[in-house]
Amino acid sequence: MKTRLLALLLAAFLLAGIFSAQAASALVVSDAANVLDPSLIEGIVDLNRQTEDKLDLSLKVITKHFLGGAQAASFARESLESYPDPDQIILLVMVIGEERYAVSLGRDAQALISQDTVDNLLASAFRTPFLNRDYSGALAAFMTQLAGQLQRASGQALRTDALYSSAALSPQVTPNPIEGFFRQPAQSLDNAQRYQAETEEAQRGYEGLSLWQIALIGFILFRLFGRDRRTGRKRGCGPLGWIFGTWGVSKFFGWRK
Amino acid sequence: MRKFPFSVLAIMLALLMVAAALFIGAVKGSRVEKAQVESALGSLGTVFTTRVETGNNLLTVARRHLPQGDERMAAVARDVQALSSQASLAARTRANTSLEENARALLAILKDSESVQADSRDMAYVTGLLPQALDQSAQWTDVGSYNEAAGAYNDRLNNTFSGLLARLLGQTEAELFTP
Repeated sequence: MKTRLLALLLAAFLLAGIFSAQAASALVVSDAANVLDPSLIEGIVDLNRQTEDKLDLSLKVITKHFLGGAQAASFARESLESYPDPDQIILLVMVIGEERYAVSLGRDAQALISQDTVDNLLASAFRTPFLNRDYSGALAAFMTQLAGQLQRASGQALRTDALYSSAALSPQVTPNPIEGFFRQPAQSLDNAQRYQAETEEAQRGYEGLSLWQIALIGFILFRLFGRDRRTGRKRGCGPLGWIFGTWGVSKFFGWRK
Repeated sequence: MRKFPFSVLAIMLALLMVAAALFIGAVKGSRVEKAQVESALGSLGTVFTTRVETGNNLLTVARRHLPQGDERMAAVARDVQALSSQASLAARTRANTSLEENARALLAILKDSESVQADSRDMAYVTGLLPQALDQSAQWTDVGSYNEAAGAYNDRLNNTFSGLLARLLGQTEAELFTP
C-alpha cells in the first residue's frame, strides 16, 4: 500500500515536472505553426534563462500560419505590448505561409541592441534559410548571432551550444492548427462564443411570469393581506395594494426584469 | 348634494394604472428583447474578422500560384473588401455568403493547380488548414443563429398579447438576413 502510494506520488511529481517544463518553453517559444525542432526550443529556453539571469532580458519567439492581412511588424509590436514586462523583451515573430518576419524590441532591450543591428542580423543570418523554409535553421542562426551581439554589448558570456543540441526530445504537444491560423485565436473564439450566447439568449427572450408563479404570488398576498381567520376582519389591502404588492413580490423573487 | 363616489374613482384609477403597467411592461420587455437581438447582430459583426482573415490568407496562397487577374481571386478579394468595410451588416452578410462560395471555388482551382501540387506546404494549406479555417469561421459566423433569434423575437412581437401592445406603441420587427 505504502509502495503504491509512493509510486503514485512519484508519478504525479514527474508529470508536474514535465508539464511545468512544457509551460516554461511555451512562455518563451510559442510555436503555434508547429514548425520548430523541440531541441531548438529547449535551446532557446536555455538561452533565455541566461539572458534573464545575466542581462534581465527575455527572449520570445512566436510562429504562426498567416496574419490575415496584418503587417508582421505591427503584429509583433501588439504582441510585445501584450506581455506583462514588454520593456525587457526581444520578440521575433515568424509568419509561416506568408514568408514574413519581424522583431520587436522592448525599451530596455534597445539599450543593448538597436533595431538596425537586429535588422542586419536578420538579413545576414535569418532571411535566406527562412525563405528556404528551414525555419529551425534560420532561428538557430539568428539566436546565435543575437547572443553574440548581446555578449559583446554587455560583456556577459552567453552559451549557445544548446541551440544545436541534437538530443532526442519528446515532441511538444502539437497545437491545434487553427490556433496558429487566426491572428488572435482566443479573442476570435471569445467573440464567437459571445455571439452564440447572445443569439441563444435573444431566441429565448423574456419569458415573463408563468401561471404557477402568478398563483404563488396570489397565495402569498392572500396569506398576508386576506381576511384574518381568528378575528374575521379584513387586513385592509385594496386594489392598489394588490398591484404594488404583486409588483414588489415579483421583483423580490427575481421574476420581473 | 350627492356624495362623490370615491370607490368608483379608486377603481378607475386602479384600472388605469393596470393598463399603463401592461403597456409600459410590454414596451419595456419588447425593447429589452430587441436590444438582445441587436446585440447579437453587433457580435456577428465582430466575428466577421475571422472571415476577413481567412479570405486574406487564402488570397496569400492563391497569389503565389495563379495569375494576377484571375477571376475567382478577384471575386474573393471583392468579398473580403466588402466584409471588412463599414458597409451595413446586411451588405456584409451578403458578402459573407458570397465569400463562402467563391472561396470554395478558389480552393478547388488551387487544389487542381500543378504548382500547388508541387509545393507540399501550400498543398497542405489548400487541402487542410484553409478549408478547416473556412469551416470554422463559417460556423462562428452562422447567420442562421441570428435569424432564428430575430425570427423568434418577431414571432413574439406578432403573436403574443404583450407583443401586440408593444406594436401599438411603435415597436418594430428585427431585421432578418436572407442570402
